[in-house]
Amino acid sequence: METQLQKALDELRLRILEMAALAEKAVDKALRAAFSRDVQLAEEVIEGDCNVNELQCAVDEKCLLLLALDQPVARDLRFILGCTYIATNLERVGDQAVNIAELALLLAQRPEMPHNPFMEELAETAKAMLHQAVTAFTKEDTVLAQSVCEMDARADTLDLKILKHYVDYMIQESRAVERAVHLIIMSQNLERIGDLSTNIAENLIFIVKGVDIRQTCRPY
Amino acid sequence: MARRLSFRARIFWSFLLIIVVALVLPAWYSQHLLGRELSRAARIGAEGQVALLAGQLEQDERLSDRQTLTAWLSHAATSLNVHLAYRSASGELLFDLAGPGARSASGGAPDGIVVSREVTPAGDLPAGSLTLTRSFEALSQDSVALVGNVLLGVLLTFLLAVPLCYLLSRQLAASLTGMASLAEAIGNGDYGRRLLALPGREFITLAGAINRMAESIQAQIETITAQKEQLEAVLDGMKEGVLVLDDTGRIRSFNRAMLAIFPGVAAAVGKKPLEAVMDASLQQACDKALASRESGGAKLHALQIEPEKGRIYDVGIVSLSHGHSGLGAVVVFHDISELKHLERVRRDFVANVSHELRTPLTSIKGYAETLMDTAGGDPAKARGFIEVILKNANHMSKIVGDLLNLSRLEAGKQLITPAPMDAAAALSAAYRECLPLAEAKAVSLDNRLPAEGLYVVADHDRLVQVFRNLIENAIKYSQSDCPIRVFHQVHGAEAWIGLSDCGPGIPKEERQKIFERFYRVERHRDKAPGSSGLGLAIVKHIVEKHGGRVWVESPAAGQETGATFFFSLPLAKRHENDTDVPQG
Repeated sequence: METQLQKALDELRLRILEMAALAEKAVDKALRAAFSRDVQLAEEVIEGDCNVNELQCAVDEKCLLLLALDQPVARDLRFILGCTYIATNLERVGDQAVNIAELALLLAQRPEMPHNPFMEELAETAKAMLHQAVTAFTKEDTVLAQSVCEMDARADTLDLKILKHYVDYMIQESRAVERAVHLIIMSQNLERIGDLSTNIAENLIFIVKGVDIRQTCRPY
Repeated sequence: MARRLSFRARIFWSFLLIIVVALVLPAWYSQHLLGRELSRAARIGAEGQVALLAGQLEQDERLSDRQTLTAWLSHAATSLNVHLAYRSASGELLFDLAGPGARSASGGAPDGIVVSREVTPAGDLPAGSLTLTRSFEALSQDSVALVGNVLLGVLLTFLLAVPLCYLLSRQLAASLTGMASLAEAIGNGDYGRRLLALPGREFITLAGAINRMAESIQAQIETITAQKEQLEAVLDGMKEGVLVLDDTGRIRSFNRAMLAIFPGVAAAVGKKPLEAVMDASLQQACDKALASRESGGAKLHALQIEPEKGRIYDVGIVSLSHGHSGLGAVVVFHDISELKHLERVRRDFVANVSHELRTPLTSIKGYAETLMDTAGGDPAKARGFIEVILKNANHMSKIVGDLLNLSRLEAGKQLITPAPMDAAAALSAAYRECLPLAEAKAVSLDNRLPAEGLYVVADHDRLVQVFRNLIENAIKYSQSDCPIRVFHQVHGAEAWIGLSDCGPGIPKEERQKIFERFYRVERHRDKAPGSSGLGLAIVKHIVEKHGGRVWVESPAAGQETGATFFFSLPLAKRHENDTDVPQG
């Protein structure tokens, strides 16, 4: 028979998963909107962000209530603290998706820029990092969480490569400066999604192992 | 109390009780009876003895004086062990003596059997009465010995009966235990067992009832198992994924298709659907469906989810009414990705084909109208106009020709006769056809196929067409001074042939779509002349008819730009290479 606290923690976990599902979907939609110049999809992302925000408020309230009423200890306490952090990060992922969607709206009005494989790879990497972080949380898999931290280096490299690519491009084609700047911002948004995913994964490790690896990103 | 005792103990104690009753009652009764008989026999004996003594007194004349009488009577009293007294009629006590065992009756009331008799002696002695007293003490000695024997017998019988009771009760209990353990085994699921060995005829009804119960349970279990297997077979045979939720909204079970669609579901039994399918809208719909059971809302909830790109599911959630089963809802996932894909392809095709045909048609119409308006003008200008019209008409004719070609390929009407042949030769033939285009753009061919030939099983003309379409495509999108590299890899029984160009590459989103009819990566880009937009679609169909597949990597492994088109063909066997002369 599960206790009241366990039930509440389960409920909390489910809310986080719901947030994660929404955030993942938002990122996916925003990127699809950006790559296929789909204005409608971009607007869907911008409108859908409030759901993630509402869920974050609900999670925060629930966490506070649990902390105050049940005075959990050890793993339960870490889980609740971790959940508030993860909810915050997921909410920010949602915001990044909105940023990307807004850029996609802007870019859809302008002529199309040449296809850039780095941007695609970065998008894939960021999506994969987020997905892995969420999967690690679902399965409480610290090994998977660790691998998210390791993927972050690739995202950073790609971000730099994209920056360099568009700086070179701007030198050649001054007409494309505005679009290139937007694309650089998009790349940074993606890189930020990678960072946020890393935070989520680190929090999962904190929940399961009680170890803080934020500064090192090294095996505990 | 009795209930807490075991059956065996109850039998044992019952037996013991019966034995005790059966021993004690007769013993008590016989003791009573014996006492009475003993005293009766003593009285008869005493009477006889008195009669005998009296007779002697009356007959024997020697006993005429008092002395002789006393001697004789004391001898008699001693040998008979009784108390004898002789009192004359006048009340004078002539003799009073007790035997050694007999208590003297001189003091107190006589305690025993007292028998008197009137005697008229034959001698001179006065008439009187002879009194014989036999004391109870002597009597009870006899009866004590007798009762002692009886009690000893009872005790011995009792001692013998106790182990017998024990053994019997144990045997009975053992036969019952056998029955009980068998019934328990049946209860625990061993429905094939039957009760055959019985402790007695009385148990036939019970055994029959137990056996019938076991049979009926077995039959019912078999029916239920068969039904369950049928249901599972039906569920597993379904192409749609099925998820069954209990009334708290947690996953109860799922079918095989579901496991194939969402492998995570295996670990999510007993959890919410969100753990198996990361889609918030599905979870919300499930919650709504479960909530609608109370409010009596709609039974069926439908939604579409896209858990992964390109995989679209039509989800139907049927909430089940409250029952004993504890089931809440059934969720069915119907894969409509292909349907959606075809829908999009068809939509794109209609849009694209009209666009492709309208562009040259507009041109033809415009130039023809201009020509008509300026009829009889400058013949050189008119000729230029007509050339444009002809070029566009040719382009349209090429599109229509390619379309027909494609539809023939699709319908299987175009005969393909695969035979072992040299792919390198087909490549050279195709490149020769594309030479004018290549020279115009200064694009060369870097043929890295083996010089001795690469033997594959294919239709020669069709393979040339594949190469031609791919080379045309590569030339169109390549920058100048960049060779088209053709190479091959051998994977098992297949040859993978690759064509690399230095073009802008193809975004990931488009990589599947470019093989669709009329699909163009960058629509705004000016079309190269002579392009029908069908080249890759034709390539795809030809390769697939040969049992191969075609795909694109962009950028190819180890490169940062460009695209590499791969197609696979079955390799020809070695001995066929030796005998066949390369064609082309």
